[in-house]
Amino acid sequence: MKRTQRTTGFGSPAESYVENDINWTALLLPKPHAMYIFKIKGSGNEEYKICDKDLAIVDCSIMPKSGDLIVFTVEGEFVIGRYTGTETDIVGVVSRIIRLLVSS
Amino acid sequence: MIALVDCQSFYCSCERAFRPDLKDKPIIVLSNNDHWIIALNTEAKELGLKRGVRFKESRHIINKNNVIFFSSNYTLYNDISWRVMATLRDFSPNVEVYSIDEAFLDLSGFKNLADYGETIRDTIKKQTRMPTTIGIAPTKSLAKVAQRLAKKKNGSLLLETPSDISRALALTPVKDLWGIGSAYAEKLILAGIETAADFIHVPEWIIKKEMTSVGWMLQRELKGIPMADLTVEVNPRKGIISARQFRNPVKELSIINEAISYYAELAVEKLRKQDCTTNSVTVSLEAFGRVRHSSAKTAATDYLPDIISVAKVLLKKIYSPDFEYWRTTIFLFGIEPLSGKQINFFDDNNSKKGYLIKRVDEINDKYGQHTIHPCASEFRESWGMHRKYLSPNYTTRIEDFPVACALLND
Repeated sequence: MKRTQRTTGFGSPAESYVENDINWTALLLPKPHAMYIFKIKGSGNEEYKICDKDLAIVDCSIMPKSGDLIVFTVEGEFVIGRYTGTETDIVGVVSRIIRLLVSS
Repeated sequence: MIALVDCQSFYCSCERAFRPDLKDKPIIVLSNNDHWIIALNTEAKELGLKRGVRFKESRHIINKNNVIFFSSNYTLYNDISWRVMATLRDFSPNVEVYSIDEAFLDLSGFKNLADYGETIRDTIKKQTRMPTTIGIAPTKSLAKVAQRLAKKKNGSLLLETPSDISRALALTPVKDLWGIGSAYAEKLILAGIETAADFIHVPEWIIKKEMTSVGWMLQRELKGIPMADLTVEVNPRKGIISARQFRNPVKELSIINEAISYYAELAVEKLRKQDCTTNSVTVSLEAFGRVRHSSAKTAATDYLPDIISVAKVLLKKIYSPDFEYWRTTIFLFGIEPLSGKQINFFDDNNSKKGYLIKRVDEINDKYGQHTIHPCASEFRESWGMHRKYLSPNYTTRIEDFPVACALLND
C-alpha cells in the first residue's frame, strides 16, 4: 500500500516520491517458508529476558551456535532454552521475540 | 537430470509436525465429515488399517492400539506444502509442483547429484519437519522409478549410469509404473511382460498399436529419452463437481438451497481459477432410496449469482417435502476457456458483472475464502461440514501457534 492522497487543486509535488508502507512481515519473517512462530509459556533465561506469552520467531534454516536460544523437543514437548550441543530434536534458532508491553 | 521429491505420508506428517509427542505413533486422517480413512502413516498401516475403509468399521483397531486420528485440516496441509515447495525452489531454478506432496526439479547441469539429493532431503526435514524420498534420473518416468525404490530405504536414489538404470527397471513391476493403469498392467503380465525391464524391450509398433500414446511416451522415457509432453493423469477438466454429505439429514428446501448455493460458490471458484466458463448446470438431490437429477443449459458464464439462480430452479423441480435428504451436488459441465467464450449480445450487464466478481475474488483471496459471498450461501450449522477431530492451524492462525515452554535456570 502507498500513502497517497488525492488533491482537488494542485497535484502534490511529492507524489512520485511516496514509498510503500513498511513491510512488517518482511522484517519479522524474512524467510517465511523456513520460520515458525511459537507462543512462550513460562519465563526464564535471564540474559534473554524471555517472558510468559512472548512470541518467538524460530528460524529453521540456520545451525545454532553455542549460547543461541533454540526451540527443541524434550519428552514430546517443545521447549525453549540455550543451545548446549546435547539437544537431539532441534526445531530451530529463536531469531526474534515479539512482546506486547501494553496491550492496546 | 530430473529429481522427483515425494513427501512421506504427507497428511500424517503434517499432523505430526507440531506434535512431538506423536513421534512413532500410528496416525490416520479422516475424510470430510469424518466418514472414511483417507491417509495413514506406516505405523498405522502395520496395524492393518486401510485407506478407504469407514472410520466406524476400524474403530476397534483404532481403540485397541491407541491410533491417533484427525479430521482433514487442508489449511495446515496447504501451508506445509507451500513451505516444502518454496524450500525446493532454493535447489533448482525450475520446480514443477506436481501435486500437494510431489514435485519435479530440473537439475540439468548440476554435479554430485547423490549428495545433492541427500542435502535436499535434510534441508526439507529441517525447515519444514517433512520427511521425503527422492529419485533422481534422466527423465521424469525414470525419476519416478528411482523414487519408488528410494521409498523402500527411506532415502534418495540416483540412477545415472546405464547399469544403474537397467538394474532399477528389473526391480520395478509394470503395475507400479507411472501411468500404467491396472487394466494395461494385467494385459502386459498376461503377455509375459512383468517388469519395466521387459517393457522397454517390447517393440515400439506393438506398444503404439496396443496402448495409448502415453504408453509409447512412457517407454521412451524409460529408455532415457525425455518427453516434454508427458503429463500423465492430469486431464483437462471435463466437469466440476461440488458436494458433501450433510451432517444430519435435511428436510427443508430453504436449507438445501443454502447448501447448494455454498457448493456452487466452491465450484465457481474452481472454475474461475482456471479462467473457464460453464454452459451446463446439473443438480442432484439424494434421499435414502431416492436420487433425482435435473439439468439446464445456459449461456457460457462464470457469474456465481446466475449459476446459483439456475441451481435453485433445478432444485425446486426435484425437491419433494416427503423425504429427508442427505446430500445435494452441483455439477458444472461444458467447461471452456474464457477466451473462447460465446458472447451473448443480448446481455448488456456482462461488463458490470465482470467488475463485481473480480473485486469479490480479490477480497476473498486476501481475507480468505467465503469472506464475501452471496447471501444465499450463508454457512449454516445444520448442513456444514463435520470435522470433530480437527487439529489447530499451527502455522496460519495466531491463536493456534504451537507452545514452547521456557526452561528455567539453564
